[in-house]
Amino acid sequence: MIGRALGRPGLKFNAIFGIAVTGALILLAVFGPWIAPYDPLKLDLPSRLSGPSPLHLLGADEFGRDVLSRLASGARTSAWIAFATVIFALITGTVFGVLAGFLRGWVDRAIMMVNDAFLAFPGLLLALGLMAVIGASREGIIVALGLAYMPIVVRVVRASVMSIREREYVEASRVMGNSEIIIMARHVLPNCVAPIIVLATTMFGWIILSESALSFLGLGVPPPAPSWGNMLSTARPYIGQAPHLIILPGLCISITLLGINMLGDAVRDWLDPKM
Amino acid sequence: MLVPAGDNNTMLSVRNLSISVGPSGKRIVDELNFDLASGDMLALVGESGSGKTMAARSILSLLPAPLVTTPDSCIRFEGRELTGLAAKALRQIRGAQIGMVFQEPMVSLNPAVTIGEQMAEGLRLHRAMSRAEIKDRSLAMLDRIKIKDPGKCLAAYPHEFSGGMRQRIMLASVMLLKPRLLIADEPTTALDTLVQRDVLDLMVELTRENGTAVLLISHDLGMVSQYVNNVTVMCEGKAVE
Repeated sequence: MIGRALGRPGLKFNAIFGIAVTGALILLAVFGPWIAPYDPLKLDLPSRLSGPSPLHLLGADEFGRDVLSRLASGARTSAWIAFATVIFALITGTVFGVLAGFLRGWVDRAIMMVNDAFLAFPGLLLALGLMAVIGASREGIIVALGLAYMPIVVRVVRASVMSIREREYVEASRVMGNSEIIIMARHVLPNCVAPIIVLATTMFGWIILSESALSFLGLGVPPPAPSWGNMLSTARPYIGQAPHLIILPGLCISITLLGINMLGDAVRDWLDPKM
Repeated sequence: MLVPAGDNNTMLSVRNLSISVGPSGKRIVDELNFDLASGDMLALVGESGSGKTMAARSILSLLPAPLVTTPDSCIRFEGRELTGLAAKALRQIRGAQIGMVFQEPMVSLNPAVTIGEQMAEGLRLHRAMSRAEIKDRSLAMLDRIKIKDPGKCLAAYPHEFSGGMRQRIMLASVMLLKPRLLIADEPTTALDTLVQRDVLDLMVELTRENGTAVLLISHDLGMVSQYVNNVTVMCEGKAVE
């Protein structure tokens, strides 16, 4: 599938834009600390809240820390948290969703009972509770947000599996003598890739925002370390004096989301044999 | 009513086959009996809802959820009782010994998997063969069913083919395994008249070549009579003729 996707002629705009933005994000996440002109934690009180200048290209925050440096090293934190959380939620959600939708019966009832209990809490509240139990750390955020978003994935996957399991090719494969596990993996799962990818790209955005909300509540990435989310929330009191502190991380988040969504769109097209 | 089991040549022998909704519910197939000799053809004909499809599905234990065969039903395939067979033993018979082709060619191939992969599936499962051998067999079979450019076809996805071609491909992938019995559940109902003939002719040729018996399910008595000598007519779950 991947070979086919790469060998595909005629890249569309969304693919080019998506790949460019995602590639830039990955480069920034990997090489951010080397690109940054200053240590993201270094204080420079005389230039606190200063706007863009030759000294600080993108200005400095309320402690005089260089915004460009903080954005660059925050990219790693935010991207890593968002990617890891999406993957975590997708894997667990898809496994439970396929099992529930395909096997039905008591498996379905058991999974959906737990899932609905999870869904009954607002996602952020659930993540908050989990964070309180797990503790505020990067891994804690990933697990907490992952568990908070998993129930949505379970619902979406289960719904599409339930429509696919009634198709005749599933029956045809059963008639061939395939075991239920093979039928699930080879015939059911590939046909629900489209909704999963759409959901994954949408979730990426929610998670960056949720991470900033958690940071805002003091449970996100612990303070001196920068993430786009906590930069956004710590800048809030200074919105009048130094709007660039809000605009810049906000812009980073929006462009990343746009890029990831376009990439997701393009990937969905590549994986669809009919396109 | 007890009917004596068929003679030694009989491959599939169905006795007292009844299918009910739930263990004690209404019977949708009632005491159906028929025999099929190896290499022979039998047609099960009846109107919609007469239970012919469910009767055929029960042979492979493929009845949808609330339907069950009653305890005194008896389905013998080559001397082996198929009712109540364990899932694992059943999987070894499905595909390898008894193949099945469905009514709707447009949806019976997986749209997300290439033709080659789908044809290889059965061979990989039931026969110890290398990838190259499987590919050779598939190519030869596609050539046999007169698909142009078989190599390209293996890498193609189902939506690139018409209904008739898809049904031929379905037939080919089932016949690749040379099953002893082919159950064809209204294989041509969704196709137009000319294509119907092609597909049926092909089915007859392929099964003759491999000595496969055919249980053909149809509602079209006129069409069936051109191909088959033995016909069981069903009406409201009972064999009437």
